Amino acid sequence: MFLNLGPVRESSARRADAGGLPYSSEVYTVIGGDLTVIGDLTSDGHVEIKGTIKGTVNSRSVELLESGVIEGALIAESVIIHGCVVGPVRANTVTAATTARIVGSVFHNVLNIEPGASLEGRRPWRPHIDRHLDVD
Amino acid sequence: MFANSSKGSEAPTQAIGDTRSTLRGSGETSVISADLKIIGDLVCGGDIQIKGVVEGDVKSRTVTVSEGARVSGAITADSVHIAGAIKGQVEAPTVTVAKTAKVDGDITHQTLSIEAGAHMEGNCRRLGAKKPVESAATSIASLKPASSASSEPGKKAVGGL
Repeated sequence: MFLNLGPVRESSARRADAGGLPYSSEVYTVIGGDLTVIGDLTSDGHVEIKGTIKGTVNSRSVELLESGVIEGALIAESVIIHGCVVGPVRANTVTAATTARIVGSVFHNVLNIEPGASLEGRRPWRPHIDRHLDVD
Repeated sequence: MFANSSKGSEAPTQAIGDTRSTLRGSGETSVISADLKIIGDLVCGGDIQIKGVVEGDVKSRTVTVSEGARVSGAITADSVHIAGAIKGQVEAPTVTVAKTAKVDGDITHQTLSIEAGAHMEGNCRRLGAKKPVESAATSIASLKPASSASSEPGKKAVGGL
């Protein structure tokens, strides 16, 4: 869905300047590399994480970049993981990129694991995952 | 979600411009968008722009609370620009309060600017200036004779003897 955003490493600022975002700036959140959130994030838009989250992330789509760390649950409709997740991942579409490291169960409908990604834990398939429902 | 999010009024635009300019130097700004809600604390060495809801404390270099944003908690930073609603203390050398702001809490500052129309409820105090209660307490303590302080073993360290 947001796989064709362009180069992942491109900075969000430049992306915003370039326009053509699938999400308006109103629903586009960036957690910068020097930001640590101790608590939970809830969003209906897109969240780009370069920093550290100690808590649950629940968003429509999440992009966890290489420097990003989530210590807690990651719940989304679609998620691309380049960074590290210590906790369960629940999303309809999960993409684990080459640099990804996931320690925890990955509940998914569609799972895409790129070579090099490290996944420790179960990877149960589900017909549908509703991020608003707290099941599994 | 928020009534103001689509208006694109002056203050937030200017705030975005401000953070963008600092962003060039530091590399990136964290943006908490209008539909994002954070329940917990934020700690950042760089810049944060808040357009959504934060229920918790914010510690950062610069903090911009845009119009439509809501922060319930203390904000500690080098520079704070407020155009949204804040319920809690603000402590920063530079504080700017825009006309769309609603501040419910004390502001501790060195330089403070408040635009006409801003909603302010709370005390404004200069950084470094002693709180009225504190200064009263210290003046009372200084009045006490040193011998009375030293007679209580628990207070020896406090008495500095």
